[in-house]
Amino acid sequence: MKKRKISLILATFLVATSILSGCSKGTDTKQSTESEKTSKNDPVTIVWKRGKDTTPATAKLIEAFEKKYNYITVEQEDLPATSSEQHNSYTTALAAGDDSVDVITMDVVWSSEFASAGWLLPLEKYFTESKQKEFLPGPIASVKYKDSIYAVPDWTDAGVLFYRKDLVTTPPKTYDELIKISKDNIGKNGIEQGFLFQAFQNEAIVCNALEFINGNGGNILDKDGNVVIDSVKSIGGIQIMKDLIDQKVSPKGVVTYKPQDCTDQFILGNTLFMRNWPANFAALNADSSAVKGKVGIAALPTGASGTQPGSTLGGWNLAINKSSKQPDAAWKFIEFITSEEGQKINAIEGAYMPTREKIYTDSEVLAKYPQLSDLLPAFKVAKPRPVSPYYSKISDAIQVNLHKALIGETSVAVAAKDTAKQLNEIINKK
Amino acid sequence: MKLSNNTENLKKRKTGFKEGIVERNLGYILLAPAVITIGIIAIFPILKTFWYSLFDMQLQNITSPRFIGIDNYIKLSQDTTFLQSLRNTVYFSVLSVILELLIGFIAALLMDLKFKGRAFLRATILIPWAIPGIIIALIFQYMFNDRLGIINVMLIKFHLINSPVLWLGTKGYAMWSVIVVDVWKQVPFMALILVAGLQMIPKELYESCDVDGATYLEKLFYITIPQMKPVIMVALLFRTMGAFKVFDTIYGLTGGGPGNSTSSISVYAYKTLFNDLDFGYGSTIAIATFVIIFILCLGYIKLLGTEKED
Repeated sequence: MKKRKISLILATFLVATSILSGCSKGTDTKQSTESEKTSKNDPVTIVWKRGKDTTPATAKLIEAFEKKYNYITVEQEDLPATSSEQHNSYTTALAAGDDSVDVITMDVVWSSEFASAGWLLPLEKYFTESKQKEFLPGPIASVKYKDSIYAVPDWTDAGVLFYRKDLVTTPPKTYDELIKISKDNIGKNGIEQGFLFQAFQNEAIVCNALEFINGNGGNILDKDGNVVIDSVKSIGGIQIMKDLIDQKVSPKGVVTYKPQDCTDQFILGNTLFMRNWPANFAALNADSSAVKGKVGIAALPTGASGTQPGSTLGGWNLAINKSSKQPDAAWKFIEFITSEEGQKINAIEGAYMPTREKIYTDSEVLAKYPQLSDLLPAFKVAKPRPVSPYYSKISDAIQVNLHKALIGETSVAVAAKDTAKQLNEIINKK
Repeated sequence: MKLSNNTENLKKRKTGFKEGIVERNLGYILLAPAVITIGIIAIFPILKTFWYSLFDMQLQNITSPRFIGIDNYIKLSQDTTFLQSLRNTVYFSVLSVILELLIGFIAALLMDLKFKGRAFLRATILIPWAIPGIIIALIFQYMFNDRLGIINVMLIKFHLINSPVLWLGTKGYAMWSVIVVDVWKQVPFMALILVAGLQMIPKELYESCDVDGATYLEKLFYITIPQMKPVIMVALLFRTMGAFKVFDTIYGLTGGGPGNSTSSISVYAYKTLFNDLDFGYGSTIAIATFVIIFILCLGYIKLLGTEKED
């Protein structure tokens, strides 16, 4: 009888704890869902989610904002570093109508997807046409969907070439030159490899591939929306990626590298060239870097059939969750971050490239990053990836097939043809 | 029987019309809370997912989902990515479960021996199993990095390989890296279940063997393993189910690459649901996963059932 009593007590205890542990989950979201009160200056908290920022920019921005609007508290939550993981974190929350996040940070390709799913608050009444004109055209195009505008461009990005200016006086203008200079320099001055780029099977490979393709005069879609990734010039561009690996100018490992992996190696001083996003410049010039002061930035090279260097338009935009309970406070925050003052803080503290053209001629910013004036023309012509609510599927088709080509499982031509076939299916189905 | 004791006690207290109803249905009444709970948290979502799989439902279209019946299932049967994911999952499950069983069994035999610190070892050996799968996957991803990872550094130092191997980016090696990581995580669990089974074997069986002059290996194959059959079946059931559902290890280590060569059916379902926002087709993949694992479980339980009747 005693044994049964003990087991009964134990069982009740287990059941009770399991029920109670399920109940306590809701408390941490309570803080951020205070409803908008009628009086304008009642204290309000908004939640801002973005990928982890390794620079002091985010903290400084929040500090400056809370000083100006002392009734608004900003809670910033970190998300994983990779774009795909942030995307999935948002989709699981927003699809359920979660209101625990007010301001979200979207990769430049998600606007049409999130807008057509009904997750974003349309911003026409806040973000008027005259205000839009102060921003760069590429990023503005990326936040529009159908007839409305859904986000404000926060910072922009475009793939650039990093090079060791202590070893290479003029950066190469073509990939053939790059290959030659690399081969001449491997084995000297601690250089073990020529060119690092990203070909991990996620958004990274799509961004890089687009630059090689555009740099060779090809494209994924032409201006009428037809699939041209299997054109001769596009195939030639993809072939350059394969040649770089085959000729041992780039390590085989590029198929597993994301932007951080490339920076981690370049910082050790064993690489001559790297394709990456400009924001990595801050890390390369940090005191702990072996290449501090030795890194130059230039436009990417062109392929044999290309006339203009490729540069994928990256960047991140700020939007308001449609279910947010304090849209006005959220808008004030977005307005501040994307104002001239906010973009200056972002640029100086975090090397985030501004989306307002005026900042590129600001003396304080140029003092710290003189290369910004060289980068502005590149940002103006940076090419966006295909705009579509089904961009995920398009990206997936490109990722899988191009990755197969780079690991040698299929030829480049076959990979391009497979991609074209799948892209046509996706585009024509809708 | 304990139940009849309760029944008699209740009978003594009850009077009137309802007398006898409770004790006749006592079994069902006591089971009801558990069955209802399982019904709500397990059966209902499965039915809802099956319902979604009958629609063309893409979250990007706020226009209502379109009913298409079994079209999604027809698409699934011709989907090369799904078939490849299924092949990968079977390959992964068979190899990792066999390895876990072998290594786990050896570990269990070692832990069965009496030595100082045995209790401590039995506790600490569970640590790999207790660490969340995604964290293990991310740490191992770093270790497998071709230029900066410790694994290549050590292998080159001990002259086992000449140049860095691209573990996670080469087709065959990536799957093996995934298997190694999963085996590392699951062996302790396997070993612990098997040790419990070893403890239950009556010592008299071994003693009578010693009288007849049996060797260690003879004792192992004629006593230990036959006696352990039920425990081995239970361990295999757990691990096979777990292996077929594998997600964290693969998603964290390779993301399904290179070129979808390590993509499992769970990873494919996840990508379809949350990357592509295709809830209709993603639910189809999820239901297919459920059906496959369910059939496997039924198979194991049937085997277990016939064992007990011996």
